[in-house]
Amino acid sequence: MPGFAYRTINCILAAMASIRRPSFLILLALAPAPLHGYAVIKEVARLSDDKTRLAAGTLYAALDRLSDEGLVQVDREETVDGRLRRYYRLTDPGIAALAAEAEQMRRDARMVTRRLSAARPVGAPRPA
Amino acid sequence: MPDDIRTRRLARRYRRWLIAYPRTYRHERGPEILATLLDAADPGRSRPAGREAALLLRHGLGRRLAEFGRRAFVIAAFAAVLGGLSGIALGSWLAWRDVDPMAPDKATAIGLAPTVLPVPFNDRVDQFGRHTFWNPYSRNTLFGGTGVRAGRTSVTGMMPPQAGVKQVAAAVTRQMRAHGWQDVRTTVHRDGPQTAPAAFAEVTGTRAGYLAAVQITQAESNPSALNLDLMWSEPPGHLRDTILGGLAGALLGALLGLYTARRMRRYGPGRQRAYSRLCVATLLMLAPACLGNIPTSTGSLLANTHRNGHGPSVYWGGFVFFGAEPLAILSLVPILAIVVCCVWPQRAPVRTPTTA
Repeated sequence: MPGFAYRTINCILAAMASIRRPSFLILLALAPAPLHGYAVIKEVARLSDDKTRLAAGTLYAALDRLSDEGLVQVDREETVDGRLRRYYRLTDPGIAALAAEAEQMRRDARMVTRRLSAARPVGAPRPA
Repeated sequence: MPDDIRTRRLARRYRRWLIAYPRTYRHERGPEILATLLDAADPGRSRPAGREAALLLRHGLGRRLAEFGRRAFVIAAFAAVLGGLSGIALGSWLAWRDVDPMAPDKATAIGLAPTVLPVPFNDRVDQFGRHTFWNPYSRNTLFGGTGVRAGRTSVTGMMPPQAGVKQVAAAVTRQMRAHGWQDVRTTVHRDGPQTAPAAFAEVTGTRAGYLAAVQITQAESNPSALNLDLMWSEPPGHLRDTILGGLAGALLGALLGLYTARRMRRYGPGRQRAYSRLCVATLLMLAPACLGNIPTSTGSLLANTHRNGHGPSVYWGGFVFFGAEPLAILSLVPILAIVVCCVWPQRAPVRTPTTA
């Protein structure tokens, strides 16, 4: 289906251009299974070794943006102890965007490693 | 405090912060966000954390702003600039209008004269005072002036015999500085080359809110004369009124821009294009007067205090700027058209009854 493929590529390109750290971590948190808001906050904290603690306002702003970009969608709703829990899951373009981001990071890491290994240690004599 | 009471209190306080979000969004997502906020709150907390509240406010307002759309912000920004410029002009004008048009009185002028004039002076004092005038067509429609005219009190001094204009000006300057007049300046005019004797000099200075201007003239056709004019230098509270007017104007302009842009979104593309054109027309018509109105300490950018006429006058509106006033008045037409479109009730969709 060319239209769907076109939209998917656009979504991935848009996502690759603009994925920021919190959004990346949210996509990463949602990768294995659908999660509700609080579970996303906990998972993001765990994945980042407690370095990123999402506030609810930030989480829902990011979820709105990711939904608009078609990378996540609502999976189901539950009410637990009178509290509404809405579960979110990755869409196919979301999975593709996350994979593309991971591939980009892998390439970047490889490049950094290669360039660092080629670099002279500080104070080393210049070759004649 | 029992947990359920604390939680209820926390929920109530979070709900207050959620008011920052637009109503429809709050209706749809509010319970879910509230549940997450309560889940994520530290145990024992009965008040929202400061950071959490600030983020709710920021994202909520951001969401509200996003609902208006980009065009609304462009319109609001221009409306804020125009409103701000009009506001500062109006604030300045109101401050000048409050000045007593008959001040300084004769006794004050006689009291201040020895602090300015180093020579004997007449006890007879001329006073020119005129109340605020509102005359948009003082000369003709395209070159009118709307403003205020402040009072002026004049004292005539005796020009010392054999003294030149420059020497008298120097003596006046010394006298004013010695008696605490601030910002004392001297302007000398010559009829001819630089080496020619000065024909006219003016010394100005300010003290206690008054501007003193001493004109010293020496010409063959005119016997030597020394004249002191006393008038308001700047109304008290001029700066405050100008700033307040600007802020109020900018705020009102921005709100009007946002409101009209939002209301016009209910119409189709044709009317929205017409709305954009009306906004551009308003901008073009109001901009000359708004720019001319930028206040200075002596009036406005394009129309300063005129001390050579019958008294200092401050034109509000830089409206003496050629043709700016009629354009500014005409800008009411597109503004009214926009307002009418916004408040015009929308026709309810016609429902055709169906028969079984």
